[in-house]
Amino acid sequence: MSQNNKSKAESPWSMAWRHFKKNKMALFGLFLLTIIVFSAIFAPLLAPHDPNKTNILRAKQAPSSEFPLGTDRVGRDILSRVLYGGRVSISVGVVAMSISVTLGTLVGLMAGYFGGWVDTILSRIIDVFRSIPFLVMAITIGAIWGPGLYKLMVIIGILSWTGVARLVRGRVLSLREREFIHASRALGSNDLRIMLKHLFPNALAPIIVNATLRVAYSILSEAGLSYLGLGIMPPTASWGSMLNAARSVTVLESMPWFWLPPGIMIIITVLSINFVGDGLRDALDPKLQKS
Amino acid sequence: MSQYIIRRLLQGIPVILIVSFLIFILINAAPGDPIARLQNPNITKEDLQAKYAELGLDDPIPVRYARWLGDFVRGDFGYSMDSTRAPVNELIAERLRPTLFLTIGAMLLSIILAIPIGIISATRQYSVFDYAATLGAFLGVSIPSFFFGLVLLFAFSLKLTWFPSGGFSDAMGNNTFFSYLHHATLPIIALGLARVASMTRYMRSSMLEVIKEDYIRTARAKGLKEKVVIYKHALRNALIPVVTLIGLSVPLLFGGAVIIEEVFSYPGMGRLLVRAVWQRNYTVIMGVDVLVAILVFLGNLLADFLYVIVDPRIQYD
Repeated sequence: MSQNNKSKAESPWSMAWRHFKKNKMALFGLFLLTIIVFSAIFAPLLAPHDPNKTNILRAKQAPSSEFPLGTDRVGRDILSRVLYGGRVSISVGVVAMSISVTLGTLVGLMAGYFGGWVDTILSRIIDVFRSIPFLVMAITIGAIWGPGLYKLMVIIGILSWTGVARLVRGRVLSLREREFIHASRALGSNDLRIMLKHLFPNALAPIIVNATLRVAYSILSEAGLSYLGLGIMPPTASWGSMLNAARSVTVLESMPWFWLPPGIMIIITVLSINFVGDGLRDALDPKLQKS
Repeated sequence: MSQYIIRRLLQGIPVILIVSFLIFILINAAPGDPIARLQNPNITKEDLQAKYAELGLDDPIPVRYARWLGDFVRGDFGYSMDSTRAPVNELIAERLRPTLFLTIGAMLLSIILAIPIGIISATRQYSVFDYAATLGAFLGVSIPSFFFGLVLLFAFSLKLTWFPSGGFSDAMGNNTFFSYLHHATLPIIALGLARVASMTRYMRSSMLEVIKEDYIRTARAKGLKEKVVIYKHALRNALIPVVTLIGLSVPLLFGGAVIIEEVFSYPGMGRLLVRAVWQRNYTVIMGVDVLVAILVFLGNLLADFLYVIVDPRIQYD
């Protein structure tokens, strides 16, 4: 720290950023992620063609100067579809994460804070959700509910909150009997205020790390469900729905430009998010902050 | 021990009952009328009502669930709702073995690879090997398993033709363990990749923690060989958290199998489920879902027993 702000305590966020900056992989991940997010946001400006414009005369063309990544079976430009697909895949990731983190945080706060029968019931609900594999449950709900962008976000969100809930519950249990909570209660705070003003901020660091990794899992889930034909439906492009084309052996064998670009984009995006999440974990974990 | 098993069953059975009841409600809320679909389209409303009453479909949901449960525990999972009308338990029984072969294979693969890689990574921390393993683990959890499967299928089955591109049984009927393995190798690798990656990280950090302990220093101080210190003294304690991970992996393996089986046209329960979902074949969906929940429970029970083997301090009684 520089000398002139010696009197001012360093805020936890600037301390975390200082630690984060030291992690080269995390910075590299953040850099890649920024590029990917911006190219998705500015897809309409960057895309050389209309992603949904079909042209049967130019179908199944290998990459060329006009179509840098080739065209698909109905002549749509793959590069444009990858750019637009990023918008859908990343939105699904972010929205599904928000649903699961909100739900998980609320359940975890309540289970940990109230304890007793509330905890017993909520913990049993968590057990129920954890006892059936995500993908099995997701396609069952998908079968009944039908495919679609918003449904997909909700399905991924409501099926993946248990991890956050357990994490928050554990954190709250360890904080519940601390002096500052007792003090706040003695000063007349009600349960809601204690939970939101005192317990939640103290559990925020692990929640942020988990939320980051949740985005990655949700993008992977979108890809898997759309590949199975139970997520994003054509003609909308998402990285997962573009991979759906590889279900055909002919496409898989002789038209790798159909399915390699969206797959590689998923890998780069998820890898960057994982690097950032790992950096955040190190930066936000107070146990590791010795320097 | 037997008391422990009873206690676990008493905890697990209610969870499975709730899961099956929830899925039952969910499926009953599904749109469409399968009975009407199976009848002559000119059937009158009265006849349809009579048909419902005959099949007990106008009873309240809890009554119907109880009836379903009674049949289920006796091994009667109902009939497939597609044109074959095959009994669901037979459909599942046929596909149970390929799925178990795949999931157990992926689990063994991850144990066999992750434990040594994790140990070497930890004992040579910050070496080139350690960095490569770390990067590999990051990649492993970032590649969608089905995409990795597609790449394997493209490279080793379609281009190099080392492995068949689908199926489980030998076309000539000469089924041996190795013919099954030949079909299942690529699916096992695709399903196991993410497990290998995350287990390697676990093994590494758990080993790093253990080798800092005093008893390891003592073992070294009394002049034991490094190999003995690591593989005899440290490994056993380092394995304990890894066993937890094995338990946590069980649902991930069964979930992952759904999509991997689809990629490799592998005749398992996952592929059966995906087909059933496309056809809105609810009896099959119900049967597979509940059976998977039971398998996950049994897998976790097995992981608990593994605990006793690696950690003698834990005693179930």
